Amino acid sequence: MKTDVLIIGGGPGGAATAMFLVREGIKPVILEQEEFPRYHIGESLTGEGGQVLRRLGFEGEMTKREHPVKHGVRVFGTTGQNSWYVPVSARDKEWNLSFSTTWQVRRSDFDTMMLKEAETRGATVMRGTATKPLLADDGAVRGVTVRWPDGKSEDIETQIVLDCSGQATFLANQRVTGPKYVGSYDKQVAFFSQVTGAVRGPGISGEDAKDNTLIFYAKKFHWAWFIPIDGDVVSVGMVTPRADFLAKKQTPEEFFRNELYDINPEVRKRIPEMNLVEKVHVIPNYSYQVRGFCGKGFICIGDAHRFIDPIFSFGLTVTMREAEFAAPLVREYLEGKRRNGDNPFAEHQVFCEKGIDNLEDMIDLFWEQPFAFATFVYHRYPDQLTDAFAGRIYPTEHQPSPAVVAFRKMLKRTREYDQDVYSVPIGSRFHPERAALWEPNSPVATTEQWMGAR
Amino acid sequence: MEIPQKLKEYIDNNRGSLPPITDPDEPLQIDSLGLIRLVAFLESDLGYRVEDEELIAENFATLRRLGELLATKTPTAPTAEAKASAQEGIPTFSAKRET
Repeated sequence: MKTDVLIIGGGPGGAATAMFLVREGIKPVILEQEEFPRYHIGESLTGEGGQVLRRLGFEGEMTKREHPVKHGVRVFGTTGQNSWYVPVSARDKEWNLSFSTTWQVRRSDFDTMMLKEAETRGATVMRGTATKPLLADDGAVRGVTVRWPDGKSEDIETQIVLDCSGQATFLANQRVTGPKYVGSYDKQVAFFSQVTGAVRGPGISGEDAKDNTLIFYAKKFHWAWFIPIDGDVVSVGMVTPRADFLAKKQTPEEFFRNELYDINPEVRKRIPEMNLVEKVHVIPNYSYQVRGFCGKGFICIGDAHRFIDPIFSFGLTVTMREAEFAAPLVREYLEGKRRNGDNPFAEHQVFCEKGIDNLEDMIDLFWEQPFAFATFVYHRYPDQLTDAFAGRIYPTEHQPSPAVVAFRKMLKRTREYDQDVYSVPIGSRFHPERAALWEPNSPVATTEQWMGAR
Repeated sequence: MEIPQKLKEYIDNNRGSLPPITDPDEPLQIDSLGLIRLVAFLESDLGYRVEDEELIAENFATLRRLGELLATKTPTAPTAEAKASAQEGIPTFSAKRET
């Protein structure tokens, strides 16, 4: 089988990529191994994530489907007595700031809507699992081997593979990309489920809006989230260091039920009874960064190359924004441009890296110096931080902003962008700056060892 | 370092039901959001500039620590813009409210 563009993964990254490609006149094939609808975590969009959906023409459909409307994020401090609030915001062409809204989504519904719509608009969706990349003599990706549900395998030849496989990081695991580095938030475990009967805000807009995201901060690396996903159900999750979980010797559900209220006094007020309507899911070691995630015949999008920390809900937004950025480049590639040099998408790669690096500096400062961070949000750089929280993080969006510059100064960090796409990134816990975070008894001493032989 | 009277009053009035501080080494017992308002008060009402690197809770732990921090600084005239922020006690975004 042959197609110009093969997208691996039919989640929102793959579906958004397909819809932006259709706008460029390209009809891709999407390969998805699971039957939709299926459960997935990552239920909150930031402001710019909502804008991507509006540009794709989904505003009416999102309203019709009654996805909860998010006006902002409220973060409760340790005692639960106080909170700070960041509104969802937008910028117009003149960069004037305005308050805006975005959505919370039940991923099984949202992802199905996105994938079906991609198909309606011209993409071909096929059930199957990518098992192996096909490489040309010069290392370019020229397709993948696919295993169909009946067990038979087939090679699909393409001009370009777009890896939207999420945390499965297909091309990275197949060593097509540069190394996949363990991130600095790899020692936490996220436990999450869904509850009914939760107490939402009393308002219809602003800080008390009923469908806002709530974050309950406990202490470094201990926190919980509260994300309404429909009229009845709220997604609730808790993040703790893995060592705390292992020490208790409980099942994930026991641990979740026993520990959630201890995160913050506000949790019990918001979730008076733990009526779980979904099993307790667990994701350990979720933090990683793939180097060299673009190259001849391939681009990795969203979680397929990097995930830092779920704290501020950037996942869906980043993956859909990267989809939008990549689509015109894919068209140019198919038109025969960008075929010279080692990496036809080198600029795109640095552009995406810079955006997520800005996020990483923000998240790192939040964890390392919460008081300074909150002072920045509250007092020093409120506008610049609404930009970052909305997902306006890219070089074309007045970034790095004075707030990000201040983060770096406080983290004593400089960011350099050269041609070396294999060096240990700052976000890796093996970076010298992270030495203090190393686990004393880790069985793995180096990222190279963790990676295995290349 | 002498603590300005206005600052001592501000702190004493923002410790919930706790009595006024008498010992310079007594913990201020102001929570993190209270400390942010304290920083805003120092900058907006008293004209001290607190550097980003100084935004660590330890610098605001006691009157003595706070005095040591301020001893390095010369206050300037407070700005009208910053003043509004401290008085409202909530973040002041330049954005327009959604309609």
